[in-house]
Parts: sequence; C-alpha cells; structure tokens
Amino acid sequence: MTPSHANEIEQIAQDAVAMTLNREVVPVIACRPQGDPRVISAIGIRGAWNGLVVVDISTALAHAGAVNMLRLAAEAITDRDLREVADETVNIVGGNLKGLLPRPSRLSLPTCLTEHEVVERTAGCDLLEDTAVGCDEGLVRVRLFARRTADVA
Amino acid sequence: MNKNALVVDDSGTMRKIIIRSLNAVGVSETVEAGDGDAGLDAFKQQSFAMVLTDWNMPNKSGIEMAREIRALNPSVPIFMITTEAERSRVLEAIQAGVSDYLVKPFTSEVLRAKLDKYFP
Repeated sequence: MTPSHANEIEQIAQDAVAMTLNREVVPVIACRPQGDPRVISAIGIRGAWNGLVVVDISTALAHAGAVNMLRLAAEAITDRDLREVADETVNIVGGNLKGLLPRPSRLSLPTCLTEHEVVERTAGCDLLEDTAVGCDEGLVRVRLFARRTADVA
Repeated sequence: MNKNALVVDDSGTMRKIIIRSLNAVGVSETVEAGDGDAGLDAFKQQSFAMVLTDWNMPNKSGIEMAREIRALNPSVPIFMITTEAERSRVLEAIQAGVSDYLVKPFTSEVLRAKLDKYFP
C-alpha cells in the first residue's frame, strides 16, 4: 500500500454513507476522539495483505439514516437495525479498500464490536489510516489497521 | 414474463434498497433471503424472473448459490450486487453463471437503469 490513501478512503466513505444512510457527508478534520455514542463494525481483509477495517458511526447519524433507509418511524428502529447499517457500511468501505491493497485477498464478514473489542482485535496491528467524514447529525470514522504478521484474528 | 424477483443479501438494509428499486421498475412481488442457502431454497420453491444476490454472505455465499441456481436453470438472470470490484472476481462471477454485475456503492438511478433492461 502506498503511504496514504486518506483521500480515497474519504471518497469511499462518502459514497458508502450516501448509499447506506442516504446522507451527504464531507471530510472532517480533527474529529478524534469521539465522545458521542457510536455503533462500530469491523471487517477483516486476508490474503496478500492482512488487516482490519473499522468503521464507527455516531449513533444519532446511524439512527437517522436507518429511519430514512428503512422508512420506519424513529421509535421503531432497533439496535439490530443500527448494527445492520454499520455492517453494510463497513462491508462497502472494506470491499472498496481491498481494491487498493495487494491482491489477492478476501473479505471476512462484518462484525459489530465495542471499542474495547476493537483495541483487542487490533493488538499487533499498525494504524495506517484514520479518517472521518460527517454531517450535522454525526461522524463516520474509518480506521485501517495492518497486521504486522500474517496471523490474522 | 413474471415480474417477480428473489433478493438475497445478509443485510436487511441492502435488501430494502434493492427492493425499492425493483418496485420503481414495476416489480412488486419480491422474496427475500438472508444467505445463499435460504436463497437456493426459495429458488427451488417457485419461479423467478430474476435473482439478485450479494457475494459475501454467511453459510452459502452468493457465488456458490449462483452456480447451483445456474445448474438448475440456465436462463434466469442472476444479478450480482457486491463490493467485489476486482477483475478476477468479476470473471469468477461470470464463469459461475452470473448475468450482470453491479459494484457497491451505487446510486438508485444506476440500479434502476440496470433493472430496466430486465423489466422493460
């Protein structure tokens, strides 16, 4: 991977959020750490390149997007709906990022995590990218971790 | 031609996005499945004008399901909607019998334009 794909990641995240949350978002600088509640999902990439893509979405933004995409009343949105939105977003981001990385490689299935679990899963990894896009309703943060060895959790 | 479709994706959000586009091109009868196993079961139970499927799913993947559906029915259009954009993966899908291919993310306009070919 070249030293930075931040611009590509931002574009991928913008396109993914437009599709899964029906929201226009723009790159955000200096957003970390986020204090608002978030829903986090991660997807592994294994093969010629090994690592993890982590997407976390402000719960308020995920909720607003789910209301819009599922066409349900706000009170009808469940935690499962929010997890599905996050899973699909990381699936799209991870799948498109995979195309920028050494090939061949395969995606795992997306999994919702807590931030504590992210820390555990990324032990032995280097954080290569940490970017965010957002709108008034919240942020979508994308982190790309590379495994230092071929052992991938 | 029956205007019905089988939509196979482990994401309920994606199924709703796809079904909305199907509805927009006049396909009001849809059956949903959450993985390739359930999709194959649904396909065996009734005839469909089209199958739309994700690739990366638990249990049976979309590509495995496509191969099995193609063995059962050589003519039904199978539309793969996936994040797998690499040339080798597209070729693998075509070899499995996939008729058309769309990479996520996409806009609803692009999906509808693709569907218009099958549901004029």
